[in-house]
Formats: sequence, C-alpha cells, structure tokens
Amino acid sequence: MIIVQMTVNGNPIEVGVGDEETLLETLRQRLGLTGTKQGCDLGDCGSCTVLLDGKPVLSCLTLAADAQGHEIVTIEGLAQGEDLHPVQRAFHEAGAVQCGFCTPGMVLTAKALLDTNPNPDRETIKGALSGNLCRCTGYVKIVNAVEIAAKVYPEGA
Amino acid sequence: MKTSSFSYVGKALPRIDGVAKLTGDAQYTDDIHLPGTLVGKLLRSPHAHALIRNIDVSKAEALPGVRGIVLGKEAPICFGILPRAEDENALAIDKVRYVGEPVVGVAAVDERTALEALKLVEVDYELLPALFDPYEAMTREDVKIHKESEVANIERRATLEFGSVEEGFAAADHIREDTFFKAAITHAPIETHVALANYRDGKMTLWSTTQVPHYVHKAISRVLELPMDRVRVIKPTLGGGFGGKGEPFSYEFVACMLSRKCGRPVKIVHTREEVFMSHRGRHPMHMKLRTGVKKDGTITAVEFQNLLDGGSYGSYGLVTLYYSGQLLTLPYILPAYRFDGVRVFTNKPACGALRGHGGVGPRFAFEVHLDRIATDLGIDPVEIRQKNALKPNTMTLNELRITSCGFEECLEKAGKAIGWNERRGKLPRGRGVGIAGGGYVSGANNAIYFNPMPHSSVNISVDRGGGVTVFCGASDIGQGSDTMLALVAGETLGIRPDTIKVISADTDTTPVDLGSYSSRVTFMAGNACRSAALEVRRKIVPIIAEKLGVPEETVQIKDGIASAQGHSEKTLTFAQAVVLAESKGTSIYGSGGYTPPKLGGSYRGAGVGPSPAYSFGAHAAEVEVDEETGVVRVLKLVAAHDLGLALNPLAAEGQVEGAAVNALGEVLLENHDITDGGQHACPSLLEYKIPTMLDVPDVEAILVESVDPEGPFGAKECGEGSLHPSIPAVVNAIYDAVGIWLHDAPITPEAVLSALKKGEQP
Amino acid sequence: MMPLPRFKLERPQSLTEALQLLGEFPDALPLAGGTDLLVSMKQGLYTPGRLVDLKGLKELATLEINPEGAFLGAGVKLSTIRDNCLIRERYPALSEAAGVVASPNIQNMGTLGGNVCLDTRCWYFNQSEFWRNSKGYCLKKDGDICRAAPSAKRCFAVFSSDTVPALIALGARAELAWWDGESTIHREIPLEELYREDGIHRIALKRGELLVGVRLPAAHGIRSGYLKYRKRGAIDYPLASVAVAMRMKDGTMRDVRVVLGALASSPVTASEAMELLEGAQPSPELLARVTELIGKRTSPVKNQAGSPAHRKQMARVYAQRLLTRLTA
Ligand SMILES: Cc1cc2nc3c(=O)[nH]c(=O)nc-3n(C[C@H](O)[C@H](O)[C@H](O)COP(=O)(O)OP(=O)(O)OC[C@H]3O[C@@H](n4cnc5c(N)ncnc54)[C@H](O)[C@@H]3O)c2cc1C
Ligand code: SF4
Ligand code: FES
Ligand code: FES
Repeated sequence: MIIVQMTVNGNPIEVGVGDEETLLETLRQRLGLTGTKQGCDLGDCGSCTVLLDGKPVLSCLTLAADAQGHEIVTIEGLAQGEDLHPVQRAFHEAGAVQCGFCTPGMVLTAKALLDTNPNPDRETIKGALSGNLCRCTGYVKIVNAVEIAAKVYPEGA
Repeated sequence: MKTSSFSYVGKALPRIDGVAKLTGDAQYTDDIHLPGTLVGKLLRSPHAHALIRNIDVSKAEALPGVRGIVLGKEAPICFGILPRAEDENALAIDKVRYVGEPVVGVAAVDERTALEALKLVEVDYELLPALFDPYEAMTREDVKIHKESEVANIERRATLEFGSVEEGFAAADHIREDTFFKAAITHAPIETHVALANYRDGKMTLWSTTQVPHYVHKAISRVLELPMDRVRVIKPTLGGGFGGKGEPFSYEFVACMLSRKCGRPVKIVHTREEVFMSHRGRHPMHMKLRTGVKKDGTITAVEFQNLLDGGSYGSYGLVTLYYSGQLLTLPYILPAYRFDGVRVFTNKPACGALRGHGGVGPRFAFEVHLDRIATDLGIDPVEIRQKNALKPNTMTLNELRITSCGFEECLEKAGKAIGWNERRGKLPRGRGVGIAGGGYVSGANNAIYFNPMPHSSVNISVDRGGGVTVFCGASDIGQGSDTMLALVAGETLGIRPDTIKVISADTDTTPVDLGSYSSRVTFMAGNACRSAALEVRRKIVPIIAEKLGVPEETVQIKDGIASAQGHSEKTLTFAQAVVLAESKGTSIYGSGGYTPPKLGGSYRGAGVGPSPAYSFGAHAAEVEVDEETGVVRVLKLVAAHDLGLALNPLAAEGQVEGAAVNALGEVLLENHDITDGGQHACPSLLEYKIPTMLDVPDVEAILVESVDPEGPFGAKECGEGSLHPSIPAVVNAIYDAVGIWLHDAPITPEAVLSALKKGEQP
Repeated sequence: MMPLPRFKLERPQSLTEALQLLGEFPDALPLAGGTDLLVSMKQGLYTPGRLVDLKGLKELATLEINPEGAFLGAGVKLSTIRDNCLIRERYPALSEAAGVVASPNIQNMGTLGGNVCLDTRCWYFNQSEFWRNSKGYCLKKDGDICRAAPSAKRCFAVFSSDTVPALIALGARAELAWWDGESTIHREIPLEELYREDGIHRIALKRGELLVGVRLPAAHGIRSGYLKYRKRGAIDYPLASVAVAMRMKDGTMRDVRVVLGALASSPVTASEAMELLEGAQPSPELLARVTELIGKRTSPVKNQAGSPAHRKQMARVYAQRLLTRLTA
C-alpha cells in the first residue's frame, strides 16, 4: 500500500493504493468515480482520459501512485452544480452524444484543448481529439460541439 | 402529415439521457456495484478445434480467494438466438470449436485471484483438424464441426428463384459476370461486454450489456431451469452495440451460474480481446454475380451466388444467409432473379448480425457490378440506377411490399451534393466521384421465434403531478430509442418530450419489446408508444372538454397546457386534468402494442425479408488515390437517406453519419481476420483499425422524407440502411479516379498498387 | 481489465538513487511515462520485481536550447517537445516526429527517454498471454523459434520509435549514466550506437544504465523533416518512416542524413543514398535515383500490419517527398 495525496475534482484526498494499481482502478473502484470509462485498458481508445494538472492523460496507463501531489479532474468534476460546463452543454445540444461511452474522455480532451486554445479550427480539433475513438457518431457532431463550445468559451469557462 | 404541423416532431431534440452521460452519472453495467460482488472470469480454449477429455479444477478450487467454479456439464441445455440453430452451451462440454471458446467459469474475491485460478485449471484436450477455409469446410466430410450437418460442414443451403431467369438472360443485350469478396468486420463498441448477476431468494437478477433483454430473459430461464418469473434481466445504459450484443452470450449464463453457486453477486467484464473473440460480426462473403441488361441499362435478370463463412456456431447466420439473398431485390426492379447461398461452419468465432445485417456484402458487390455494367454500356452510373429504380407502392418480385420509397430523390440529392454532373469523369487523375444505392428493412415482420404477441408493447402511466412515464422493453443501445419514445409520447400528448421519463429494457417492469436489431425500434416501439399515448389522450380529452365546456374535437394540448381551438382564454394544465380525472375515479394510463401486418410470400425463405417499410438511400463519395503509395482518402461523403420522416433530425443525422463512418472503416481499414491457427489477427483497438477523427471526412447527411403511411408520424428506419451504399460508392469513386476496379474489400494500399500495376480489370 | 502483474514500486528522488536501485536489483526496470512498458506488462511480456519510477528525477527534466545546441532530458514529455517553438524552428524533424507518436493524449504521458529506449515490436510478441499461448511462443519471449521468419536464428521485431530516426538525422548523442557500486559513471555516445540489429537485445545499455538525455548539435542552417506511414491518422505506430536533415550550400546538399524507421530492429542510416546526395544539386532525376537506394539494406519480415514490400515502398516514396520538400 502506498498512501497517495492528490486533488480530485477540487477536493484534496488521501487514498491508499496498491503498487500496481492504475489511476483508472483507483478512480472507479476506490473512489466510486465511475464516469471514467474503460474501453481497452491498453492505451488504445482514450475512453479513460482524465485531466492531470489540466492535461489529458490515459488513466489506464497511469499508476495511481504517480498521481501523488497532482490535480486530477474527471468528468464528474466539470459541471458546477446544475450548470454544465460549456463543453458539456455544447455536446448535449449538438447531438455529440450517442451511447456516451467515449463521451467523458472526449469532453475532457476537448476542455483541455479549449483551455489552451480557445479558438481552434476544425482540423486542430480533430487532431487534438484523434486519440479518442468513437464508434457511434461518425465524429461530425463532436467536432461541431467543440466549435460551438469555443464560441462561448471565454466567458463560459 | 407535414412536419410543420407538429409541436416537437421534426425539431432537434437533445437526448433525454444526454446530461447523465455528460456528467458521469449514467450507470453502465460495469458502473453498478453491489456489496460483496465476486469477480467472474472465463477460461477460454487456446485451440480452434478439440475434444475435451477431462477438466481438473481441483488446484484452482484450492486457491485461497476462489469462491466457485462452474463447468459446461452443469448447464447442458443448448441455446442460440435462432430456434433453428440452438447449438451453443453456456460453457463447452465435450468439444471446443474456436480459439477463445469459454470452457470454465471461475468466481473469486478479486480479479487477480480469478486470473490466477484460471491458470490452475487443467484441461485435457484432444486436438482435431481445424478448418478455416470455407471452401475446404464445404467438402470435408471427415471433419465435422457440428455432427448434425448433413453435408460436410454446410449449415444450410438456401435457394430462391423468381421470374424466368433463363428468359431474362436470353432477352439481355449484355451479360456481365463478376466475383467479389467482402471480409469480416466486427462491431467494436467502445464499451466491452459486462454482466452482473445476483441470485437471491430463488430469484435471478441479471444486469447485462444486451441489446435483447427479452431473448436473454428467455434463454437464462431455459438454460438455468428457472421459471421466467424468477428471472429479471435489466439493460443499464449501454455503451454501443451495433449487433455485437444482440444475442445471449456465454458470459451471461456463467455469471448467473456462478452467482447461484456462490450465493453472491458475480460480475464478468470482458477484456477488449474477449470482445473480439465473442465477435458475431459480419460474415465474410465470397460472391458471384451475373446480370443481364438491355442496351439502355434495363436489368433483365440477376443471378447471385453467395458463400458465407459462418464461423463455429449458428448465431443469426440463417437470417444473414436469407437476407443476403432477399434484400438484393432492393432498390432496383429485377424482373428475374435467382439466388443460391450457403452458410458454412469453420473453426472461427461465430459470425452473426452487424449494423446493416445481411445486406452489406451483397450491396457492395451489386453496386460495383452495376457500375461496371454501366461502364460496359457507356451509360452514366446515376442514369442506370434511375432507370431501374424501385417505385413506391409496388411489390418486388420476391413479394416484398414497398410502400413509401424515396430512392430516386436520394439519388438526385446525393448526386447534386457531390456535384455529379460537373465532376464525374472530369476531375484530374487521382480524384474521382462515385455513387451507390441501397435499401433496408424497418424491422423484420417475423419475430425470431414464433409467437402471437405484439412485437413491441408500451405502457404509459401518468402521475398526479402530471408527470408522464413511458415503460417499454426496447433497448436504448446508444441509438436514442428512449428519446424517440419520449418524443412520440410527447407529440401525441402535447407534453414537452424532455419532461417525459422513460423506463426501458427491464423485464420485470417493462412490457416486452423484441429488442434492438433489424432496425425495428423506431417503427415498432414508436408505433406501440403512439398507440399507448393515444389511449391516454382518449381518456383525458373528455375530462378536459367537460371542464372547459367545449366539444372534445376542439381540445388541443401543447407544452402541457390544454385549451380549446378558438377559445384561447379557456385553459387547463395537463396536471390539473389528471387530478380531475382521478377525482372522478379514472386513473390515467395507456397501453399499446404493435404487430406488423401479414406480409410476404409463401415460398421457402419468404419469412426473411418482409418488413412493414423499407428505407432507401444513395451515397456519393469523392476520393483521392495516391498512385505512388496506394493510399485512398475519402475527401467527401454525402449520404442521402430516405427515413420516411425525421422524428428528431439531430438524432437521425447522427445515425446516418455514424453508419457512413462505420462503412468507411469497413471499406478502407477494418478486417476482422483470423490467422492460420485460429487466433485473431488483430484483437485490440490498436491493431483493429476503427477510424479516428483524422481518417474520415465530415459526412454530409441528407434526410429524405417519403412519409411512410404506417410508420409513427411517417418515420422508418435510419441507422442501418445508411451504412450500405458508402462502401460501393467509395469503390466506384476509385474507378473514376484512377480507372481500376477493386472487387475485394477492405481495399488495401497494396491492392490499389497492384491493380494499378496490372493496369486493367481484375 | 488487464491487471498489472505485481511489482514493488520504487520512487527515487535523484538520479543517483535511481541508479543505485537499478544497480542493486537485477529484476528492476526503469519506468518513465509507462505508455510502452505498462502495456507490455499488462500483456504479461515483462514481470519485473521492481519498477524504478523516473518521474521524480529532476536531472531528467532538463530542457536547454541555446545557439550551441540543445540538451533534452530523458524525462521531457513528447508533448513538450512537440510544442516547443525553438525545437520547431531549429529541429523541425524532431518536433514533427514527437507530434505523430501515438495520439496527443499519449504524447502528454510518453517521454523522450521512453521513446528512445522503446522496445521493439512484433505481431507475434505484442499480444496477450492467452494469444501467445494459443499461437505458440517465440524467441523474444518464452519460445525457441521466430514465428515471423522460422528459418532465422534471430528476432526481427521492429524498432518503431518515431523520434529516434529524427534525432539520429539531427546528429544526436545520448548521455548515459550508471552506478558502478561506488559512484555514478557518465558516458556519451552517438545515438545510433545505442541500437543493435537484434529485436531482443535491442539496446546497448549496460545493466542498470539509464539514458539521462539527448544532446543535439547546433542547428545552424539545418533543414530537417520527418514523415511517417501508418494506417490511421493517429494512434498507430509507424509501418515505415523517414527522417532527413541537411544543409543547402550554393545550391548543393551538404551534411545529408537520411534515417529510416520501423523497417528493421534498429534505425537504419541510408548511407548509399546519403553518399549520392552529398554535395549534389537536387534534381528530380537524382531524387528518383536516390529513392531506388532507400531501404536497400533492409529486409523487413511479415510481422506488422502491411506487407514488407509495401512498407519499403512507402519509405522510398516518403523519402523522395521529404527530400523534394526540403530542397525546394
Ligand atoms: C496506443 C499506443 C500507440 C503508440 N504509438 C506509438 C507511435 O506511433 N510511435 C512511437 O514511437 N511510440 C508509440 N507508442 C509507444 C509509447 O507511447 C512512446 O514510445 C513513448 O514515447 C514511450 O515513452 P514512455 O515514457 O511512456 O516509456 P516507458 O513505457 O516508460 O518506457 C519505455 C521503455 O524504455 C525504458 N526507459 C524509459 N526511460 C528510460 C531511461 N531514461 N533510460 C533507460 N531506459 C528507459 C523502459 O524501461 C521501457 O523499457 C504507442 C503507445 C501506445 C499505448
Ligand atoms: S520477430 Fe520473430 S522472434 Fe522476434 S518477436 Fe517476432 S516472432 Fe518473435
Ligand atoms: S481504457 Fe485507457 S485508453 Fe482505452
Ligand atoms: S458515443 Fe458511443 S462511442 Fe462515442
């Protein structure tokens, strides 16, 4: 057991984890944050994406112990109470969600993009989200959603 | 009915479960945690074909932390999605037929212990020769994958003949024959398969990632020998299906068996590799087409031979086989047609149903074949399609009843959007455009097993606050059927759809719907929901009329407020009306069902293909072919799809865009290939190439509305038929770009280069 | 889930401490971003008793770019390299290569050191324990034959790093360090000398030796670029790749370096092509002739997606395109 101190969705926490435990296991199984999804567990699909110090990383390939001292944001941490984050709102309204399994990873990756580049063009969006696989949507509406979110971003985020 | 006369139908409606999915609140099966849950794992066969001589689990049982082990002989009753092909066991009993077939189930306190236990199980196999080539399997009498097969490993031969084929060919000015091969692809939903079973007080509850709770309910009851009322199957939020979760699977039975044995909840989560092994995807098809035409392109006769490589079990295969023959009669008029198809067993994971089931391979073949014929005759590909296009309110020669049909409009719109007239044959070398058509069922007219029940049923209850809840067995697998039900109920009742609750896919609380397959849900559950909502309306309108003192016919409800036409000052809220009704002793509920009309011929095989309505489509693609590398890029894809009426254009576009992108993966990237030892060639999302954002253009979906007379508000299928035409459209565009015909899909850069090198047709 | 096999995690805070741990425990492996190693461990390909986590090592985090050259610490993330303006300006091949590794999110995790020390890949090797057991094991892990080339006595697993061809073309040197029992010993070698044409013993590191960083010479007048062939626009490893660096002087090509990736068990320097180009004036005819020589010395086997012949063809086409672009 290793004791890890980290901030999860703004809350400082301390949790005991196994040496060989991934951050994905800790989030889902110890912390009950099941919004982070597992599609492959091998780094291939992007559905386990979380933000580590604001950058999207794959939680299935991150050791929980390596979250020590870092800030983690999961999909549960985006909305403020009832108010959806602009990226969430845009995904909802633009029809960018179908089965929703890729959605948490997509939304977090998109948020990180807009945090650093609030005005991306379509190609930039596609590049930034290209490691997140979606089997349902054909991607059109996901890219639309990020464009829509970008429009309201400066005041919304 | 015109779209504009609706309150909600025809307007973009975000999905009712969208917010939950966006905030992480939505509960998928793996997100459900019951206290004391054990981890279940399956030991799978490393051999493609072998007899099981003995299984020794004593060492595994002795491992601390192991709570239970189950074997196939504990549940010897067979199952299978089709009553005519019940050839599977929960766990293999005396024989394994493919690499990855489940043999033993283990439950342990945690995942690592369960995996450790699998290593300690000793299975004594006697290897048998394994067959991977369907042509070989067809003739090998000495190696029987299923002993029941009469001839070698042929599961079924299907023949169909309509009109006079010989006369048709005799009347032709030109006859062309081509062979095609379409490889397998697999569904690859991003959520893997998961089951959580909890056996308590003689009752089994199973949460499962299934598209077909009703069929799973029946199968669990049978195989575990529990009465149906002792079994409850719930489908939580589902992370994509595409057909891959469309039948009962081993892991569902094993989770139940283990839970019953251990007295604790048991969860089985598939790894990505196990999803590949479960498969049930597209059948590889070896196809031969022969078509006769008049000089002007009019088709006189078609002959189609199809060899389906079925893999190791029946699955949906007999339906696939017949669909592949039957649906070729859409969307063109065939005056004479002969089909000869065979489904063969091989030692590979079973093939089954996948988005576009049955029609995708034949459609690819026929549309490319048709372009070749047009080229032979010097006719424009759009023109040859128009010339032979199926018309509304007709009957195909195999007795499929066509009601609404917007095929010609699809052709016109797709052609226009791609700039057909200006671009076909006129782009610089390396660039080209292509077009193709298609048609698909809106649900199958016949249930998978014979029964007199409606195909879908809906109950609607109304609470005292005026809240409306729709109960339906239909499975939202991501396609948005819950939202569709809310929309249909809302439109019928005059209540905002986003305020309507939908409880679905729970065999204890929701009335039966047969499941999410064959593009049946919008049409069938939508109609059932409309009829349930009409019953609610019938009950509440008299009460409103009475209260407002107006004739019943003048009552209208919008956004939950009832008023009378011409008397806008008189209003009553829906909630007030409900309270009033209840005070009069009338509780407000409604139920409705949908049973398709009796359709189809009486010949052998006539049961597969009939549908209450058919969708149609035409897709046009623009491609760029790099002649040095062989790489093909799709620059533009237009998908015009006749879906009757777009209940929710946002959702409908999403279906079309998603299907078209699946098709682009299918034609250029994906190949669910099996190696010579029976292992998957690419059992990961790294090696199995589903498209990323960078691999596909922004698909342009064009929704064509032919308004179906029997669909709910005129709607019909839109999520499967919209896959078919993209594949041949790309292949036809490659011809326009560089003058080569490719008859094998997926199209690899290697194949493009070698065809270019040959410089002539294959 | 694919649980990781059990190991003890060591989290040293200095290079010395890390080297000592690696020296002391023969069953320990260094862990950087983990995007290669953890995947392999989940597949049961490696079962180290200990992982020595390099994330706490400040010595590996240095990123220094000045007119005399650059020093890139092994622990620097690929996304940092991709986004650094000076690297993009002076060493575009490296920037381009870092930007096409895997996917953007993996670039936020993967390090330069991990990419330089990347394991070799093969279709028969990078599979689950179940798959390998079913198919039969091979030389690289648990078996005694090569399944890709059964008659050969060696392993042909492919070196698939994207940044290494670029780094070698740019003239990189590797700075290495190990613990000899008493003190830390440093050495510096040309990066290409780190690799062996052997899929198993792929890297010429001493036991317990670490890559500290990579040193690049001054970039004055250097033009460089990197092109990668893969099936999809993201996620996929290269099936073939080319890095080129050169100067143009008086209309002729100087100091030309052409390095091929993903065609062999080590990066391949296309020396015949380089000789022909050196000092010559670029012309389409010359480039076409050069292209013929590209990959002359590589004979990839069928152990990746795509046929070996096509992978070679891609390297040729991409080399020609890259040279055309850089000499334009
Ligand atoms: C889906 C997917 C796709 C990928 N695609 C690509 C691709 O296209 N191109 C590509 O190049 N890579 C690819 N990778 C591999 C990997 O992400 C990158 O190579 C990455 O740079 C590895 O860095 P890391 O820090 O994560 O390495 P780690 O996994 O931590 O380490 C890799 C290896 O290097 C050793 N090592 C690490 N640091 C040092 C050091 N300082 N000294 C000595 N040894 C060390 C480790 O022991 C291990 O053997 C992919 C990975 C995944 C999961
Ligand atoms: S090249 Fe041969 S020895 Fe090396 S990993 Fe592949 S199969 Fe094994
Ligand atoms: S679950 Fe982590 S990338 Fe797929
Ligand atoms: S919405 Fe289903 S995978 Fe993206």
